[in-house]
Amino acid sequence: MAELRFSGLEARPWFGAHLALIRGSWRSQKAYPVSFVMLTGAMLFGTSLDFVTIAIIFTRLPRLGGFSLYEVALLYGISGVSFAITDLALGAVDLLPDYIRLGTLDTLLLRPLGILYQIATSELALRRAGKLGQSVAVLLLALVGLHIAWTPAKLGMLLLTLVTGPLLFGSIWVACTAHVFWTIDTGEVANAFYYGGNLFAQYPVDLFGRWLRDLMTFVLPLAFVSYEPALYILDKADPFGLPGFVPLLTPAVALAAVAVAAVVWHAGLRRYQGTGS
Amino acid sequence: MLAYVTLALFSARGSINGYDGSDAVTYMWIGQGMLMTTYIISPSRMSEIAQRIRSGDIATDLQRPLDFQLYWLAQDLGRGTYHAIFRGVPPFVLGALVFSLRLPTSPLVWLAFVASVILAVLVSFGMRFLVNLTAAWVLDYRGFASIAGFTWPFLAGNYIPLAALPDWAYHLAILLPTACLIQTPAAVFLGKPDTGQALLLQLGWAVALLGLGRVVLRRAERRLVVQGG
Repeated sequence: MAELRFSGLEARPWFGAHLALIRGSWRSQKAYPVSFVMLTGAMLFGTSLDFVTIAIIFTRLPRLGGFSLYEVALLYGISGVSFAITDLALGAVDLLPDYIRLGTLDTLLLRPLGILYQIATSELALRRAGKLGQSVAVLLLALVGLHIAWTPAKLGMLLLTLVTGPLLFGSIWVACTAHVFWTIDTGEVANAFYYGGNLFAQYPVDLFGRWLRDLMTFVLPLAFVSYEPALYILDKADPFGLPGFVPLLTPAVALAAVAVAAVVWHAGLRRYQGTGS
Repeated sequence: MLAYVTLALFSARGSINGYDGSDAVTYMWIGQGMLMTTYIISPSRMSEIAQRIRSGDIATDLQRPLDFQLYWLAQDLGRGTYHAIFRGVPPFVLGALVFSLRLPTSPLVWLAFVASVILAVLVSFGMRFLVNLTAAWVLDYRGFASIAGFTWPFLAGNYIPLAALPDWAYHLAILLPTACLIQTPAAVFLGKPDTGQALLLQLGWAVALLGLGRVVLRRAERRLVVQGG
């Protein structure tokens, strides 16, 4: 059944449908205003706490993994913005295990739209925007505090990360979640990679043990979300002696990740037979 | 992953508030286990009673010939035991394989640690019980639950050991009930000084929070009647 896709319809309504969803979601979440304010506030405040953690570390240390406070803030900002964009666009994918277990995926398969698109737009939690606002603030703080000697290439790299970052997070998220097509479990494993990935990309890779660092650079390319581009923007040499052109591979790595995620997703969909419930 | 960050921090500084690098890493892995054992890991998992208040199922609970608070406490102790064994021990063993962790040698310390973990679950239950009861006053309790879900792990020392806080904040934070959840069991495990005092403080918070829970429960019950249950 997965073969029944009308590719022309897949991409086109994305934007219009999203606008309608945002309007609808906004209206429904306004129904409990106090709760909405508290949830968004909690999100804003709660997501700030991991930056507070970083600030606390710097009250004890001048540099962490060769990075100053503002430089880590740059990592944090890039990673946070990428993560928030991914979360807004694809956060609802964590409902996939429920769709599979309850058998409601069958309904989606009958509709002439891409499955991933349908799931991604099935819920839009505006409170996730709290994370975006907080990350943008930290990113701006970093850019103001850093005094970077900007060149067009560096500016280009920064803007590029705002595209490649979400693509990388999104690919890892989709590919890891797709394992439930085989295992039919709750998808906790994917959550670990997803949230762990954001945590990883907030810190200089230098801090982590060798095996973790290699895993995150060559297998799950999380080092390309923020660390490698930041090395380029900050004119830093790679502490592990990777050649200087590696950061420039970021877009290629991002596209490769998307391709792998697409293959895994479609293989999963083809494997899907329903749970018989 | 935060264990690496913490290790880098504490090793670079030698020692902070009496914690050195391997103390801090041991602390982080104990924290991993305690997070599930005390069940402060996510707001949605903390709110079973609140959901029953919202749906009205609590009326059935209150009719049972059992003490409402003790009934849930008994359930929570069972859950805590399960999580301590199956979600607390494995991460710690894993951590011990990757890092060199510090293990207590004296059986007395192990005994004190077990006591401290039990007290931590009691304190945690007392805190979660109160947050759940807010559902009797505000119909959508998720705001409170999520504020608790974000601040508690931080104040408990899950992101970074409390010892790394600026000194004034550290001395304040270890007095809060949140410190009983991870900081105290970890300090006992590591054989830090003032263990006896910390255990007493845990016991104090457990008694105070459970007592407060009873008082608030009485008021909540009266409120439910007004709402028509």
